[in-house]
Amino acid sequence: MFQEAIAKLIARTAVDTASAHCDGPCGVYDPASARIAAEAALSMTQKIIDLGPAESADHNTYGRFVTIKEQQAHLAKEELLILWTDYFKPEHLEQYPDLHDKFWNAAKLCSAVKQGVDVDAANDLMAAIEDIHNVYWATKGRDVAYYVAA
Amino acid sequence: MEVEVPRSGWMEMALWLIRRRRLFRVTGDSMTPTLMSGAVVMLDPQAYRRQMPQEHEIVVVRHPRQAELQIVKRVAAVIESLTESGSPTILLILASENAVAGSDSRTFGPVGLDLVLGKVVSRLL
Repeated sequence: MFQEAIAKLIARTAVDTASAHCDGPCGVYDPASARIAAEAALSMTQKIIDLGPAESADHNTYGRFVTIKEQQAHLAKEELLILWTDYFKPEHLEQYPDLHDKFWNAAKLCSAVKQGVDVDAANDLMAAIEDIHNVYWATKGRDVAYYVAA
Repeated sequence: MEVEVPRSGWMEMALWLIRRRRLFRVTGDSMTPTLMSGAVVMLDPQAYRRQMPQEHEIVVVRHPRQAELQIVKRVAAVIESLTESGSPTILLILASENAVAGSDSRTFGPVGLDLVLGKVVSRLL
């Protein structure tokens, strides 16, 4: 059809593109979001220990602290998984062959922090996230200092 | 709700000739089945000078955090809001046609009208 042929000719002149990719293509990633959640989980772990045995502590406070610890540990895991699966690409793996181990271990530590009241696991998680921070910013070619809020 | 984009007729082509339309080639699959990857659409850059965007319209906007990236999305909601100085402003919530749940938790939030390049009014291919 003549109109169809003209449409195709005009379409050839289209030089601008409009992206319709499935992922929200904001490209904004930062291990800081995992670090903040992990740090909150570490803080709640410490607060639970400071409260003393569950039977002597105020039940409401104890319950709240446990809930927040578990929520934050879960959030840290989600943030790490997003970074792992959505940001990191095969070329990064070539550069950092232990990348998968780093994330796998960090995700496991999130579970440990969520399940127990384990300051060592919470500190190990912070160290794992610092390690991921260093790898992440190295892949971006930027020197971003690691810091914690507390 | 899916709203089909009509094929460009002679009138649209004439408007393109007098530079009242811009052409964009769609890349990616988030707007299928309405717009397949590779579709070429006509944009009316002046569509929102006279009226506000409406829900279900398809727009091309400049990405809020990546100035060089233009994205095509459907308007999911139009929100009247206030700026920090208290003056009224319009914000658009944009959505993909077939967002894959769980692929990425990030969204870029509401988009101001200043980032809207125009309304998709027809499709050539």
